[in-house]
Amino acid sequence: MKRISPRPALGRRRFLSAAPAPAEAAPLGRYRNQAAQRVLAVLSCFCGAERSLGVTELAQRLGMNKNMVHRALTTLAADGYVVRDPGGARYQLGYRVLVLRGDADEFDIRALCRPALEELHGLTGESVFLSIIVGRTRVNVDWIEARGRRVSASQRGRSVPLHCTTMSRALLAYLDDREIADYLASAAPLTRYDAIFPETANATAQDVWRDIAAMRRDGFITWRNPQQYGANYIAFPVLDASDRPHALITVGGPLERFGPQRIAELMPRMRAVLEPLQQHCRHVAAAPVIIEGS
Amino acid sequence: MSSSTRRALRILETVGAAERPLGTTEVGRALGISAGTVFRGLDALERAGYVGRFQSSAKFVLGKTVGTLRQNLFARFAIRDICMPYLRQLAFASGETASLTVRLGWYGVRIAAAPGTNEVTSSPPLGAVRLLGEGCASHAILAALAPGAAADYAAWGRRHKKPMPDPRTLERALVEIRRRGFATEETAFARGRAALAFGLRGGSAAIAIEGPVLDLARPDTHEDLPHWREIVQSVERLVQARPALFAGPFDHLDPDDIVLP
Repeated sequence: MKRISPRPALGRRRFLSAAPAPAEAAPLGRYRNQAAQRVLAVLSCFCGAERSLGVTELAQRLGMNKNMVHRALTTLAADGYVVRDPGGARYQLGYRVLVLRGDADEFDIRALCRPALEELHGLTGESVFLSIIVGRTRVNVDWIEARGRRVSASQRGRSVPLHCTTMSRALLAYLDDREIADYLASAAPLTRYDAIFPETANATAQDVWRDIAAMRRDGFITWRNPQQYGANYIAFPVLDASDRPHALITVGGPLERFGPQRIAELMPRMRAVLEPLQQHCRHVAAAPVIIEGS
Repeated sequence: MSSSTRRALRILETVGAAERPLGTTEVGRALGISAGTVFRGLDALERAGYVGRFQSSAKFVLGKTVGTLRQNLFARFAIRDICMPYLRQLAFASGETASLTVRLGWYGVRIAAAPGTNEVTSSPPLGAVRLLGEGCASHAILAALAPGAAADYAAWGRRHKKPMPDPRTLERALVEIRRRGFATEETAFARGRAALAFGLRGGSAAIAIEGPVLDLARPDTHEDLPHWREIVQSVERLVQARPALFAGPFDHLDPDDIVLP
């Protein structure tokens, strides 16, 4: 790869700055602050997906000559707005951009889901939970508890292995088969946590895969937890455009109030609450899940 | 190099550092240049989308282009997305905002945060930069770096006239952080209480709980410390297993060459 000399020859630079070709300056318009505009135009090229850009590419894209681009890059590099890439011949976006205070445009799954949790709680009168995958576990990161006899929440931020409890499996379902198989192999024996999670005690890998298949087929899953005097649950996924899991939203209540018939009655309205949220979250990629050996 | 370009960048930084929208006069006063010069600079910046008018007024805020560049840069830190679920777990477990700070030369940059669940939380913006001698996340990084790093940091700081803590005080603090496993920092809005940060091995990053969760007089005694530590250790295990995922976009630069105003 051709290495670009750190500084163009002085004579040539003078020549170019004294007589910019009209065709090169044209895209930027007739404006007295042209030097600044050129430098900003070069920096704007780093808005794209490319990790690094070379002088020739930038010159072609902007209709500038290479010398102008080089000078703009030198200006930007002096302040850390661009830096040379590890190869040394090309430029990447620099650290100085971090210092410019930006909008708080973070994708916060908890804040995004909160209104839907409140609506579902208002609609059903039951407890509502928001869960995400953290490493090899499911963690509930938000919930609203119903009043009176209710399904209660676990301890704040407690981790539940991805194969224990149907709620965990409903999230596990949206990893790919290979990841699930690797997880199950490394989690063996699956009965290790039976004392803590009796709901899914004595489970085999087939049991886990059966729940996964049901969740994938229907786009929701319902189950009963005989340990909590007949609690009944329904869970819905919040996915990204590749069907990777952002989160899981679960509604749970005592069987006598929140039985299969009541769930069937509420289903269209629960779906209507979740639909806009599910659509919105498809526009953002879910956090990567990396399952390391136990 | 064109001075109008330099001025445009200084104007951009002034608008970028402000807590509120700025007018031409205010920018001029901050930089000691005439309103006309500021106007021309702002015009160039506005045309390229680097600043925009605040609610169609004559005051300026950062524009969409800066947002895109920032997002692009944040996206280069793979560690950010990988850590997010752990930060959410930590934020929920502690009730306070949990954040990730990565090392950038002799600075720490706060690049990800999960907001706390308590009613009142306060936290700096993403991209906030602090010297490695300032604040608990930075201290946790400095303590996790190889022995001798503090001396290199101090030498760099002297060369660039950065405010440096007394070397002996800093060294004592670092010894204490290594012994305890986390750094503390008294919170401004709750005296006697402290935020804390855990450094990741190798000093590439730190994970902080930013609220006043600890009693500054007895920081080791909080009953949830083992749980928080466990969450951070899960990230630590990932760092060990997949170091490539934790590589930053500026790792190839000499830390001494990174100097921010």
